[in-house]
Amino acid sequence: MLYKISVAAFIIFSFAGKGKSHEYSVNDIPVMQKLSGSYIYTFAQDSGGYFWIGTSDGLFRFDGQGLQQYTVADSLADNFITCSRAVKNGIWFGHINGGLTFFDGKKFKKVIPATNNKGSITSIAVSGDGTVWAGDYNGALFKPGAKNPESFRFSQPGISINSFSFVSDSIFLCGSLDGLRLCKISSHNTIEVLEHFESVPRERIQSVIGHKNPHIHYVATANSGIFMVQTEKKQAKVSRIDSKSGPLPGDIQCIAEDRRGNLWAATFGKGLFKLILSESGQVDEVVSFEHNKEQLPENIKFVFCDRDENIWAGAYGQGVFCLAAQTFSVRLAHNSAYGQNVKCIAADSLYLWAGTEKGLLKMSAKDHAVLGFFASGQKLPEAEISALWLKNKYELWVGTNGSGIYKINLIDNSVQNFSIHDGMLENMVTCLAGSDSILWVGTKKGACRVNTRNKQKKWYTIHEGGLPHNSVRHIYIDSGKKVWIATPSNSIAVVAAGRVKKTTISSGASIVTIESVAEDISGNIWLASGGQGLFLLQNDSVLNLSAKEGLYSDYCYSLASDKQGYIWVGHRGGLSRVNSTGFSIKAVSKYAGLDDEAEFNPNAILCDNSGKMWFGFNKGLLAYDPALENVLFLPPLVHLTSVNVNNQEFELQEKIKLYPGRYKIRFGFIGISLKDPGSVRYQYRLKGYDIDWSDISATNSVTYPALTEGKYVFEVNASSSDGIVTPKPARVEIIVKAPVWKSPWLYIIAFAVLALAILFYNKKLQQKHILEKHILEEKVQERTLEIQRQKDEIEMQRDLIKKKNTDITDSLKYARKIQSSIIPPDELLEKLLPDHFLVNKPKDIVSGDFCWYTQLNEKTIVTVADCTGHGVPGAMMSILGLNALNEIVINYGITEPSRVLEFLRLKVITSLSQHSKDSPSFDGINLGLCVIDQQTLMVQFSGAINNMVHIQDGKLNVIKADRIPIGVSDLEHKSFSDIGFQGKKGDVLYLFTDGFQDQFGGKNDKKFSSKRFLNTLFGLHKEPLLKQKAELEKILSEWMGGNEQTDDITILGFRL
Amino acid sequence: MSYKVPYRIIIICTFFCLQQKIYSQAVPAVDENIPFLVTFGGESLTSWGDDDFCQVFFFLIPLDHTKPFYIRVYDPDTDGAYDENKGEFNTSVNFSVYGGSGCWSNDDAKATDPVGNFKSGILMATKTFDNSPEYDKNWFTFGPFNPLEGEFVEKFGGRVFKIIAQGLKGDDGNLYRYFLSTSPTENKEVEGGNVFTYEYTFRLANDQKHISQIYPFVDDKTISIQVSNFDWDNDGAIRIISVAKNGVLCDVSGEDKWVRREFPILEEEKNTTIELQFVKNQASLVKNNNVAIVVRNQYGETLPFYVIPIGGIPVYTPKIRMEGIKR
Repeated sequence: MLYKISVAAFIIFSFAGKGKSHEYSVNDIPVMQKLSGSYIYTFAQDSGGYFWIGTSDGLFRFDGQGLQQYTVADSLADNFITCSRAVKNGIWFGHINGGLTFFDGKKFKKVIPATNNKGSITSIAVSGDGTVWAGDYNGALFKPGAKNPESFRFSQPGISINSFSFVSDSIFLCGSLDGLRLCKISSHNTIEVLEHFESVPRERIQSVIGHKNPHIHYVATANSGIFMVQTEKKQAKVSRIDSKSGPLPGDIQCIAEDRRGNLWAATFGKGLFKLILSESGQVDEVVSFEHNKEQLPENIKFVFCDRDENIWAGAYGQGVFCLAAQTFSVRLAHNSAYGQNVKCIAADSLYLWAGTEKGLLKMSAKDHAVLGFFASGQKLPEAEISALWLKNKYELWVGTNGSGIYKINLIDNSVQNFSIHDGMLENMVTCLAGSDSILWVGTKKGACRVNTRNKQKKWYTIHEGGLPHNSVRHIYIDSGKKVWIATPSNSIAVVAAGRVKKTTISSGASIVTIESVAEDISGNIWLASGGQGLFLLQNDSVLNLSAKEGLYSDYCYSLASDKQGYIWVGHRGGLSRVNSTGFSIKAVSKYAGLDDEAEFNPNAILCDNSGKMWFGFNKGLLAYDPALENVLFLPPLVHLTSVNVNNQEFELQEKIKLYPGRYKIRFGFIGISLKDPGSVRYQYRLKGYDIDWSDISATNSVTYPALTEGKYVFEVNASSSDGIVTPKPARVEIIVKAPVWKSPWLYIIAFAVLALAILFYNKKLQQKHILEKHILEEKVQERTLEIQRQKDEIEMQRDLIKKKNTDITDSLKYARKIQSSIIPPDELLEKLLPDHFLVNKPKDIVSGDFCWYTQLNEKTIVTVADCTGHGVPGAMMSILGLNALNEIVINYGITEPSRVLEFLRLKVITSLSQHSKDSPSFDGINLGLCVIDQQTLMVQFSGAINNMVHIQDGKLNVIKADRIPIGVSDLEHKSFSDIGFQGKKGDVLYLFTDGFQDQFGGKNDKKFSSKRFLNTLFGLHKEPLLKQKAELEKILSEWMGGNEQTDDITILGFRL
Repeated sequence: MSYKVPYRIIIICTFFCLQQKIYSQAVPAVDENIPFLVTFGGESLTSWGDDDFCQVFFFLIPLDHTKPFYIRVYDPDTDGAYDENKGEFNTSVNFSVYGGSGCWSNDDAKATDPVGNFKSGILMATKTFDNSPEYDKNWFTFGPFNPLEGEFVEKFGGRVFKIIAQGLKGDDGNLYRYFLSTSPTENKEVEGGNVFTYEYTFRLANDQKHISQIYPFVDDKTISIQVSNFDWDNDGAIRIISVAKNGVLCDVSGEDKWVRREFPILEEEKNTTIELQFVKNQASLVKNNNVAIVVRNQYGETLPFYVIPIGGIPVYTPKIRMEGIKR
């Protein structure tokens, strides 16, 4: 904590016992120890709140926490500072070597007047038009702000300028070594003396200062008092202001005016004085600070009042002292006669009452002088005084811890016991509260409502009335006459119209220990608890404030509201002041001169009629006078002190631009409040990064570890210990440029380039396609020509093939004719077998199958034969076979089937030379030959491979052929056999080749099969033969489907 | 006026999740109107009123209290005006302070009988008093103690220390008080501190007008109260007073016997404080009457007789924001 005030430093200053006391304390500022031996010549405070100290050995700047020194190395004109003046845009310093320095907020600039006879700069003032003037000891005046600061001199020589102040743009009051003059700045760089005041002694004028009224100035002489100069209507009127009090002792060095219009005088030899002026400007009262030499030295060179109403005294060779008006003061401290532990307080406009461990004290409300004391054990009982109620100016009620209540008659000071109960706990009074003639007594065993007129009593306990608990901590009567009773319970009891109503503060099994109740100026009820902080009862909710929100402690012992809208809370070690509307909290401890040993007693708290707050604690009575607070309630002046980027300090400016990258940025800031710098709090945010403002804290720096491209604005607010916030935050803008590859224009360019590239590529592709198309077209043309040529050739060949095909087909057709001519005519078959059908389906144009038939000796010889192959080879074999049969049967007259076959085989072998080694052909004939005796219907059969089917009486017989082909084979040595059987009318016989059976088709593309063929024949045998033929052809067609005919097909069916 | 031989009355109160408020760290608390705690010497007869010659108390230090604290004992000796003699004073009573892990959490520590490891934890201070006149009607201070040396108990929100007063030799009754203090020389409460026990043995006032009481808090989980007394032998009445009970009497026992009475808790009594009153016999004064109370739940487990719930439930907290003054 920067400012430390110990209780011992409280000083009550008074002068000649007259008037009221004025309480100031000398603040202990540790950093000022650095200046403990310095000669202080001037103080100033700039518009940023910084406090400047000019010494003979350098310039110092104080920000409330630290002290920074500047010397010629920092561009000061000299290390010896004689005077200073704050202006709007900076601050001027005058030096002993005649030079001046201007600080613009960032850097110093030297101004050395171009003159040979430079004197020490004694004073700096501002004329009515805002021009800054500096005066020196040799009587020269300069405008240091001008480009070439020429000097203005008196027309009369020998006039020095010790101190001056402007009355108008060009007229000023000049304090010299020989009195006061009214001067005018004329043209030609001269100063004209308008008047040398006779009423002001012709001695050294130490100080000429202006007043908030521009027509009034104060002039301090070294030893002859202080004068007021009124300049109105072009006339100057001079009068003494200390006629009544007389001149101050000591050699006045400097005077200054504070914000309340009081004058302060710094003297050599007698220290510091405060002159309280009346409305007429006369000194009403002089307060000396000489009494305590340990605190303030006797040689004060300069005095100054800052914006927070601290009074700064610059000592001559002894450093800097800061006085602050003490809003808090302690009474009864170290006063063992009356006791020190104040347990209860009461007050009205005339008197202040305090109950201590030794008795009851009566003091004057005006000056707090002790007027009376009721010692315990004399008029009052031995028991500790625990509660007071001041009913009116005639009656004071006193509660004791064990002896019940007493009434004191304030006229004759008589004391009378008032019995309310016999019990011990019922006489342990914890609190008293009353309204009109009704007194409420809180005890350790219930609350008692007493009618002080008729002495009627009514008790409220757990059972009687339904109090939450018997032990009553506090009773409070609010503005609506409701009686609030605080007990160690989670509900607060309210008595209205004689009934107790309870309001729950916390739910569940936890208990809130309510210690005290108070009502704020808005009529809201506040509760103080022991361990849970404060509660505010609102319409539909309960608000809780605890140490987390800034309360000094969660353990609250006393509670009261002042007239300024604050709620005061007493704790162990300090106080809390809560703004009852905004809920901002100021914890007060060291600021009030308290330490950890201070313990505020339960409910020993009071706001008197004048608005002063009184707190009873174990070390006396603490008073707080809000009138002594700084009426302006100024906020701290917040500044950014540093911007550190990646561990490098950046010059402070409004906007900082950084190259693309990742930055760690640390912002340092300060809120300058010289009143209570340790209580300044901050709240900041980085726009563009933070979502919301930070929590309020005392930390005056923040680091953002990784800021990348973007626009950021850092803002910081500061608030004083009174919760007053700076109107405008300090801010700095940080711009981190985006890397080239992230910048929008790059994207645009990249996009444009990409688009162009795509277009270009497309174009190229198109061109390529066109070229390829050309090439292809040429090729196509080439190929087309080639194809055309090939087509022509093919067509030519096709035509040739077609012709040849036609020729071949014609040949085959002719060959068929020839074949047909060899086969017996159909009419013969009709004649021989009238009831017959013949299916003859050659595969090609000419067939390998034939059907041969003839009649001989009344025998019908019929055969169906299948020559090897089909087409031309088969047809040629068929010719051979037909001729051979004609020869064998017709020529030789052989009708025995087996012999026919024998001869036929011989014929075929011989004709085809099949026994020859070089035989080209192993062809043969498969056939079935049937001989039918027309008379007897005796049937003889012999077959070579091909069977015959005989159906008689619904029975199908397969007349098996020999498995010996007609032709060369391994079985040619075997003979054919005859099979005979008796046929009868109606029998149906079938002779067939294997073409039908071997035909592929059907669903599964299989052969028709022999079995299926036999079944088909059997299924059809009863039908008329022509129908059978039609059916067989249909079945064949359906079976074939889309298949090609496999072989020649011949079926002869006939009925006997 | 007749005088009764002092005897032990044990009143067992069984609570389900009962909690009691203590508003100072004085034991007994002021508003209980109980003058003293009592522990008899180890050679006493139980018929004098103490069945185990031992009393265990627990002191709870809140977590935020880090400064040293003290346990002060008033009139720890067995001699002088307050203590109860049987013949010549010949009793020694030992007071021992324990901290560390297990000083509370050990089951034996919470038992009502001093058996097993009831002296669990780490012994931090001990002293035996017999007839020491310098401590008669005077305070003895144990400490300073470092709060961090206590046993951290999360549900209590603090650290627990234990003090055991055990009668060693002799047969007299030692009457004393405790105070949990931040100062070695005066009684200054530890803010947020608490004191509790599972068996509370105390002396009632020798004045028929005085009513002693204890204030258990009945939470919403409490179903009933079980009050048991032993050897009360007609010294007045034990009454229960609440928002719903107008001094309902508890059954009282005869010599050397236990009597137990159960009281159901009504809805309107939940989350309220009830008063358990000990009213002395108005017809004849019974002096030196000692009372012991034990709390058990329905499972026979002892519950702390008074526990102050630390903290409360703040309903809501405003977000305080700095706002500039608009001028």
